[in-house]
Amino acid sequence: MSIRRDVLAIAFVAISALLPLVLQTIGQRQVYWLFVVSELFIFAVVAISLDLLMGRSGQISLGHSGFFAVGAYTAAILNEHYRVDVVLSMLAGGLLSALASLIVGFPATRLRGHYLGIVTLGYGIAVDQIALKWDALTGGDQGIHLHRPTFFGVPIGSPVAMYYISLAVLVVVIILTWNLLRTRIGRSFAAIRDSEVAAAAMGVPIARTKVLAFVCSAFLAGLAGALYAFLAGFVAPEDFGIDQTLLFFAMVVIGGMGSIAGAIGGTILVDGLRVAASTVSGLSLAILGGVIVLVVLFAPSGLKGLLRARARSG
Amino acid sequence: MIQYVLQLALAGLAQGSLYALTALGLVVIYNASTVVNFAQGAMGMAATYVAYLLLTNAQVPFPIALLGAILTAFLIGVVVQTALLGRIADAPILTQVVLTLGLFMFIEGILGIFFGYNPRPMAIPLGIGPVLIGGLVLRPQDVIELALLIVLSVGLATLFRTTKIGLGMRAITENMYAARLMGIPIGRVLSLAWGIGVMLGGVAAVLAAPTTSVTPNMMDTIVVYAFVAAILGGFGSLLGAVVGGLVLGVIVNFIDAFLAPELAMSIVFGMLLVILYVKPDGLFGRRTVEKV
Repeated sequence: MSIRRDVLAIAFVAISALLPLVLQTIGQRQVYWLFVVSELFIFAVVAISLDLLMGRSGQISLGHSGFFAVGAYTAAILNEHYRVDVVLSMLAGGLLSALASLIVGFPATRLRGHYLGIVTLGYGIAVDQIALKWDALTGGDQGIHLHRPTFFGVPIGSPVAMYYISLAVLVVVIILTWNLLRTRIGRSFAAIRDSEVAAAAMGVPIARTKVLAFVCSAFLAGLAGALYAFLAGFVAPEDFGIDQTLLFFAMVVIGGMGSIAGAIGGTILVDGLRVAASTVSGLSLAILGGVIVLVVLFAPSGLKGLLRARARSG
Repeated sequence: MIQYVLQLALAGLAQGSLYALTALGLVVIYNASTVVNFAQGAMGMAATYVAYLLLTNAQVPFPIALLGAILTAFLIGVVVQTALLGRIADAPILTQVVLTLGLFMFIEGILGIFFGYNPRPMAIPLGIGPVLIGGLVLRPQDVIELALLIVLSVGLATLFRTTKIGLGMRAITENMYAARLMGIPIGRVLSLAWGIGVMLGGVAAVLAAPTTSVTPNMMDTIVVYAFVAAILGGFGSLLGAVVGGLVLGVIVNFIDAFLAPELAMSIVFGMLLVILYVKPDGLFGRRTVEKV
């Protein structure tokens, strides 16, 4: 199992690293495809962050576009006024998003499970509304155009450079998450997911662990948002609505909750569908919704479970 | 000024009756199956398209169109429970909630494909004029909203208090296993609860249509306020859901008039967070110990 996973991981990174060379052969349109795949890497980071919350600690979030948005706006505002470098912006975006998650996370610990979905839904909507309204800071519906990003003082911003930075961030996040899950903290996430009562009996501090899961998840989503701001070069409220939250949600559920590989596979599938079916309004929403229903009914562990079952039988 | 405030409050009550109806449906479903139906708005919206088609294409009178929507909504609820949720009744609640979210996306997407996202205006021909109460005006639509809320909540209360099936639903809420042992047909009672719950959302959606117009996302705002109303009411109390919806309707109307309409939902959620800090079980909820 472990070897299979390592092979999969190395293959993924190798193919991703070589992709720009392949894309060079298609000429001008490579800029578009580099953007699409970079965006996919960033969405994969968000999917991993959401999976950390839903798949690992059993809490639902319907406001992840809100955490993503806080990171993106943090980076955009820092870039607009202070020309802060990419890495620092990402850290700032992650931290501010983590801070915002405390507002939602703290009451969440005292709430019955189903309230959390609704409160996070409200959080996502609120971030969107505030971004639109507070135009002195966020530019309102005009958004913010970013200057070319710098990386330790070196200007970067070519599509290829942003591509490799996005890939690098994804790889670092995968390694970080994977290691986090193998610590005491990671195991306590699983404990509260499987049974709060049992976890409490084993001495896991329920409230603190729930909030911690929220904070970690929001940090990663915020970090991804900051990177996204640099990739897109433009931040506006329409990128962070409920639709975006539903996409993240679909990535995690369809990929298979509780698995990093599942989150990445789900991202590739869902984002691919989004790009392919963007011309007919409602089409990708209907397909994703239908697939989620089918996954829940017939393949509860998602794409990951299907592939694993095939590997076992074949 | 007082006149103006009272008028705002009255209009808020009418708008709040839509939140109350939707929230009532959510609570009926939640009490029976412990699932929060995130597709409540989408299902109601789908039923509204039936009413819309009956009104515009078949030119039937409004009560018949409403009846068509009610039947559709009821059927959606029954089918979703028996064919989908019933199959995963033993799965974690998170999984069941995920299913309702999938349904929400599916239903909204399908109607988006067939009817597009352009809002279609729909009027409710009622044949009555505005009602005046001591200088305050109630639009015909407000009258029908409040009247239906009263009729349906009284009907629901009667159902739960006096009929065998209603008692069965309450028994399931108390203890599913004991209820099964007492010979209550769990599957049938759950389907009925879903049917009634979705039906209430359908009524709210049809009544909302003249204001929101008929679009696949017409219920998005209303259903979010209905979630809040249900939480305010303790998510389990029928009376709580009604009061929560009406109070919220008034609050939202005041925010729209005196503060910032663009931030209405943010302000409401800010208030909700504060309320949940102080009273985690809502304003009408009883403290319950989570079942193991």
